[in-house]
Amino acid sequence: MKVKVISRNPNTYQRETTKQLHKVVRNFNLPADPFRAQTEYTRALNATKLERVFAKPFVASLDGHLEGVHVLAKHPKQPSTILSGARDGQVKIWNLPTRTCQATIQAHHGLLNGVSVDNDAGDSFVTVGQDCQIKYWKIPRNLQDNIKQPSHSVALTGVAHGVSHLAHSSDYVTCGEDVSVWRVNRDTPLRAFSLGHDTIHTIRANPIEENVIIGAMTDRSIFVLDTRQQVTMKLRPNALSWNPMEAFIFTVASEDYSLYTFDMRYLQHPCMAHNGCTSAVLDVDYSPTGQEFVVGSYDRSVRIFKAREQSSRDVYYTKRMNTVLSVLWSADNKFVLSGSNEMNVRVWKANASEKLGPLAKREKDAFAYNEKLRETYKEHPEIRRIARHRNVPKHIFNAAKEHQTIRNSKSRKELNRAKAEGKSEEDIEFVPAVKKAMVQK
Amino acid sequence: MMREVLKCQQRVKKIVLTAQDVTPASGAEKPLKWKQYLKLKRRKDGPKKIGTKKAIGGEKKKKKLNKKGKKSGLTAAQIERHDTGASNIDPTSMRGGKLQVKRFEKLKEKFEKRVELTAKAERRLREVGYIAPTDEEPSYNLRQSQIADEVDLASKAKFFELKLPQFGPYHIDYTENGRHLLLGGRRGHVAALDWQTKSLHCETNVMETVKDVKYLHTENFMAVAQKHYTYVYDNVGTELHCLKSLYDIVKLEFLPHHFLLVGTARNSFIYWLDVSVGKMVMNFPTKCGPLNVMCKNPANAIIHTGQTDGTVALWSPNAKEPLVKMLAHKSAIKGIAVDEQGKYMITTGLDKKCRVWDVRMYRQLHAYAMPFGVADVAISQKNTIACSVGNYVQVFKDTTTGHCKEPFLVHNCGGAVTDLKFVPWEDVLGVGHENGFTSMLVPGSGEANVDMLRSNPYETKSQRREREVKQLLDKLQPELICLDPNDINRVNEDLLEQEMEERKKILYVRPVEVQYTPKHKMRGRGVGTHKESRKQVVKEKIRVEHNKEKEQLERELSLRGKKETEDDRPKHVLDRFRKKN
Repeated sequence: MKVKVISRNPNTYQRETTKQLHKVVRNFNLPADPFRAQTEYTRALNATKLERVFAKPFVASLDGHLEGVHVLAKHPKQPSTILSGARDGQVKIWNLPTRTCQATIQAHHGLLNGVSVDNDAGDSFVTVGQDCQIKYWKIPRNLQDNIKQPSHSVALTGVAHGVSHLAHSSDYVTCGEDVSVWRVNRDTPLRAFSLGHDTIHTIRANPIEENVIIGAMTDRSIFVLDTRQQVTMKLRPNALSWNPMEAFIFTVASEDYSLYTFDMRYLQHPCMAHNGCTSAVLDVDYSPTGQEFVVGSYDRSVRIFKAREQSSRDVYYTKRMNTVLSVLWSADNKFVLSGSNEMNVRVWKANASEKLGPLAKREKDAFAYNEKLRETYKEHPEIRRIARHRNVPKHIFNAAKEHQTIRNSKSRKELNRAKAEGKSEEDIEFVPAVKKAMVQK
Repeated sequence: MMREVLKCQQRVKKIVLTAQDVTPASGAEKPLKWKQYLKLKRRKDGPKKIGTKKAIGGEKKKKKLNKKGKKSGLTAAQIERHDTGASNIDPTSMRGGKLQVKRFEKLKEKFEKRVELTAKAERRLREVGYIAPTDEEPSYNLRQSQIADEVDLASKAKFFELKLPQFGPYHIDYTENGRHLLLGGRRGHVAALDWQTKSLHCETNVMETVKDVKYLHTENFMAVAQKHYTYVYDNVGTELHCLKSLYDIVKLEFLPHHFLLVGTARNSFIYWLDVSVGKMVMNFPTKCGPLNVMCKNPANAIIHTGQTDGTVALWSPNAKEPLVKMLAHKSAIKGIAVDEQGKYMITTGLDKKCRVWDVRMYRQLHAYAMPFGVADVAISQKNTIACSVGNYVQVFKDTTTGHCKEPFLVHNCGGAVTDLKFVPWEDVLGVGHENGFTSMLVPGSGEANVDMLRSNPYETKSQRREREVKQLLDKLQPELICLDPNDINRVNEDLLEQEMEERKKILYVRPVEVQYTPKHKMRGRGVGTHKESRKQVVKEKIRVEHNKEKEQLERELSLRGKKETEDDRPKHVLDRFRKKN
């Protein structure tokens, strides 16, 4: 007779000494765990909750300005350097890792309108102010010696409202009554473009194409200079930002509480509207990856949007933060800066629950796994509710509710009006929100 | 929209079935007589017994063909199955000098090794334990001692008997990894031991009737259903908790994924207790009589109970009615077991039948006739079935496929058998009976290849602690218990449709057009403003009524899922005298 039974040698399953790692014997032939889906769902739920628990976005506050900070600019070559300009004409150069102010420059008398750092060498920057001056400053190697005098300055006949460096170049454009292209150390512009009688209050040069410039005028129009196409929105666009990865797409911060993303090749109407702010949007800046952008609003909050989503991904606020005048996404994609009316520059994490500092391999793996789980189960009602929920200040909450009511009543009114005209429900033309924001020609 | 509403709510499914006897006409209905059996054997002359001289000789010839195979104990046929062309490589035919030839020789060696490893793995996964008797003797005539003599020393030690006649009959339980054994004698004897090393963890007498014992998620916690209440003891026998809410329990079960201790009481109550937070999740009367027969479905954490009227009911903590109720026997049900994958359910009844059911279809697959006195039943990882028949334990193989003709093993315990449990990852069956405990060898009952990430029979203390933490982190909520655990990944279409319908009801409802002509009244009141004002009053009344209705509907829609219960209302002092439903 022969009998065969399971007989195991414990040595194949147990480690020999306590110094060794535990042995792991696997059997991949077993049927899958029947609770796999439920376990994953539970893990996803926990990951989402943990993400909200660890969402502590505020990193630091950079104080020192004596007036509201309304211009922020990043250095194209050094991710750690940030320039900020206040309403009293002062420019400060900050070092982000040490969170110190490296230099303070009294650049202009009165309001400072714009700062832009050289795109080519990165050793200089240009400021424009309400005092009709363009000033060209060298950034010294050693920032300890204070910069007193600009290396070059140009007096203009009119006020320059904005400045932006062209792609890969030391040339820059200013806007005001017209758009002028300047070269360093020249007293007259290389070229000037007249775009009518209205003042151009903001301008941004395309980060890839040297010849493409977008700007916004006080007659609520947006222009793309090379193609000479012109579109008009119903309310004034406040700020513009190019998508650095897809440089034919730009986003406009509008006075009507929304942002509009345009495709340069099709300017009839925006390809997307982004809602969520409860007051005028004052500034917008894209992340270096082009996937997201940050927005500063008059409602004292900073919002982060995914570039292809309508509603905001996150909203940051603090008790003391006043109206956000300027925002910036840092060059390392990790931080978001906001300059606000109460003279502070604040540093936030771009991803609220991200752990800063070096990560161990297992930590990294765990974070990646959780991220994936959240992504997989994001549409489950419970998980979606937790992931989307944000506590916002009362004024934002109430304003959002009010706007919703207004929108509803507006649409109802439109419907009623159409019915009163004798139109049937099928005849009423559907106008998407993106088209409604434009002045129909 | 489609993906928005997902299957979260438990769908209550009710199926009432009548049992159909689909036993094959010959064979399984009645036990074979000895003569018939021999005849059957002779006629078949079927598959050669492994280990006979003829078979070995045949193998040897093949082995000679393959040098490598001989070394690894594989036959040429086994290797050929996985050979995808490695043997066809001829290195000598390579052009380009000696170097190329050598390179290809090495390459061929590598491929051959890979083929061999695959064949080896396949053999390991396919091979199960067996008994191959030398003569024509059937395997159920073998005694346990005979089997134990044939196996190695380590396995021999797995057959043992504990003679404890003064405290019996015994209920038993093994831990999830099959390493530890818990014994509970009817007359109060509770003992926990590592049955492989035979080291005793603790032994106490609780001085009360013990009705059932159960290990919780680790061997450090054991639940004991005693005369009145259920108690939790630790691994040295210290009483940790007295669960007064679990009263008069006859059967205990533990759901390790949900950390739920399930108890069924004599008064037909069923309890789900969350042992991680100590909170009662759900309890209600099933109104099905005493629930002496109960088991869990390990694949979806549903509780199966067998009643005296022959029905099997499936319970989840999310519905107070059975999810499914099926008539399994035409007499009282005595034993019930569900396999690890949740495919088969085995029931035994007073009608001397052992039936195999497809739990997913609620359909009977096979029915087998059993001797009188069949009671408890257990199913192993490899779907071997053990039934207790009076003082005997009968073990069957291939019952789920319908090929079973005779018992595989029969063992006399010397006292009425009360509890049967197969040990995971081992070829061992634990039997609790009147005279103590027997651990018997059942070749081929356990899964030979352990997956240590699922459950680890060689768990150390630190590993156990780590596992405990991970298990707690991954604890599933009791709301997720449903018939199909994969429901969570599907769209609940019914609910979605229902919601759409309701939304339509509210959003697209038009204001009522009230048609009302007032009665004509005399003396100047039937004209002009008088008539009009009367009309307005009636119209307003109807409108208000309609609006109220609509509001009610809207409230229902927004509050669906969280209906106002008594707990939501502010409590009043006199509430305690209110009649409870």
